[in-house]
Order: sequence, then structure tokens, then C-alpha cells
Amino acid sequence: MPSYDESVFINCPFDDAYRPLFDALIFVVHDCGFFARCAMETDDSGDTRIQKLFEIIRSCRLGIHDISRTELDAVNGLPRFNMPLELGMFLGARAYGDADQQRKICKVLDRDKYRYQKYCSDIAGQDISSHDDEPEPAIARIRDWLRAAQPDSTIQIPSGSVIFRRYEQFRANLPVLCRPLGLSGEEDLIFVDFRNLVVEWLKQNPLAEWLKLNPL
Amino acid sequence: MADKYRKLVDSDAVGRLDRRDIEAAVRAVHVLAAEGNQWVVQTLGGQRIQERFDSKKQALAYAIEIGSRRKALVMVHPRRGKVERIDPAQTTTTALAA
Repeated sequence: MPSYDESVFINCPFDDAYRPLFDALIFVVHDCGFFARCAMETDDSGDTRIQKLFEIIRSCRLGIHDISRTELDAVNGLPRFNMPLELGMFLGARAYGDADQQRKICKVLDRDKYRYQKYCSDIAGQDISSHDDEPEPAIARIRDWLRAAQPDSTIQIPSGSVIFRRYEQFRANLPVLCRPLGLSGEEDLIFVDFRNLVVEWLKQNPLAEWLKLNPL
Repeated sequence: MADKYRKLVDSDAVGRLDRRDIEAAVRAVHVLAAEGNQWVVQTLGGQRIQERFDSKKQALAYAIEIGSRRKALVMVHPRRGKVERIDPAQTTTTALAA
């Protein structure tokens, strides 16, 4: 498995409406040279969900926490609290953990930059950005954060607009890729397979070569 | 001095799909049925190719040429039904025309 320093825990909703943002987050993490992990990567484990989350959070130095869907559920009128809970677990690991855990860094995303003050004001002081519910700003925010979080400052990370162009190209290729893989559409892709597809696509489209073929 | 980029991070995690199938699909030369009776030859990496042909035969011949050069499979997407895989190393354009 990738190292602690390279691993990024993605804490976000897993519903269909969020899927475009989730896919964009996985792509930008990998295009910046990190590795995306989330609670959906093991669905055959006997562990309870919370145990699985503890294990993944322990293995990741970096965390992206999208709390934009902390809102009342249309069916039962109750708030969705999984994302703030997992953010709390991440912050707790950083506060109470060993020296490695104390190196944890997180990025909090929401629809609007100050919305959290109305429902989770205790997180004031964390690194919070808005993505306007759109993949392009989400990619730009995460790219900038990963650029600052990487240990070697001499290493280049492509700009947010380059990553977004690459992401659009990848998305345009997805329907062509799904059919030979026996999938009726990209909605059939589970997290691990989507991540493997992103990695294979990036291997075939290495950045240096891609920039030569797709000048700005 | 050339720019230094971060290396891609990979894992051996397995999902529902075979990793070799994913790799083959990304590397492949795809031949897609298009509108009318046209066919499109498309690659998804490196020097990208997207060429349109008036017949499947022409499209296949071109795809096999590209596939042999890149050592990649050719995947033919008919309008309906399963995708056909062709290994250019074991195929000649004459055989395909027959």
C-alpha cells in the first residue's frame, strides 16, 4: 500500500448527486502524485464501519473533508452527520495520536466558505474552502492544498487548470473504457476500480508528455 | 533543467475488475461504430488519434497498424453487442478483409 505521507483520506458523501465531485477529487489527488483512500475501498471486511474508518484515517497523513452535504435529509428530515463525525475523528487522531499522527493535515470543503459557522462553528480555524458544488473549483482548491502539503518543494505539480483539462479528457474517455470492461456505464464502477482506471489512464498520459502534446 | 514531477502512486488493491483488463482497455486502439456507416479509430493515451473512416474495413486496417506499432490490442465496439478484441500481432489486414 502507499505510504502514510502519500495517502489522502477522502471523507465525502457517496450519493449519485455528489459523484461528479467525488470523481474529480480522486483524479486530482492522483494527478498530484498522492493516493486516494476512502471508506468504500473495502466492502467485504467483517469490521464495523467505524473500525474500518479508524484504520484508514490512521494510514493517511492528509484528509479531504467535504461537509457540503451536511443538511436535512429529504426523507426523514434529520441532518446528515457522517462527514462532520469523520472530520472529528481525523482531528482527534491529530490531537491525541503519536508524532506521525500529529503531522496530519486536512482540508475542509463546503459549498460556501462560511456556511459551517451556522452548524459546526467549532471547526473555525481549520483550512476551509468552498467549491461551489463544481468539479473545477474543487480541483483547484485541492491542487493548491496538495502543492503546499508535499514535502519536496522542488517537485512540480501541474496547475489546477491543467489538471481540470486532463480530468475532462479522462471523463470523455470513460464511456469508451466502460464497454470493453463489461460495464453498462460509469455508474457501475466501484471506488477501487475507478481509482485503478484513473491510475492506468495517468500512466498512459504522463504529465510531461501530455504537456508537450497539449500546449497551453 | 527539466521539470521534476511527482511519481504516480499505485497499489495492488483489487476491485471487481481485473487490473490487466483495465490496463488493456486504456492502452487499446478503439474502433467505434459512428453515425451513418462510419467508424472512428481512437486512442486514449500518448499521441492521441481520432480518425473517421467510411468503412469498418478501412478503420480496422488503420487500427491494426497503430496497434502493432504500440503493441496494444484493438477493441472493436459494434453498435450493439460485445466488444471484439483483436491482437494485431496475430492478425493480418488480409485475413480481416477475407
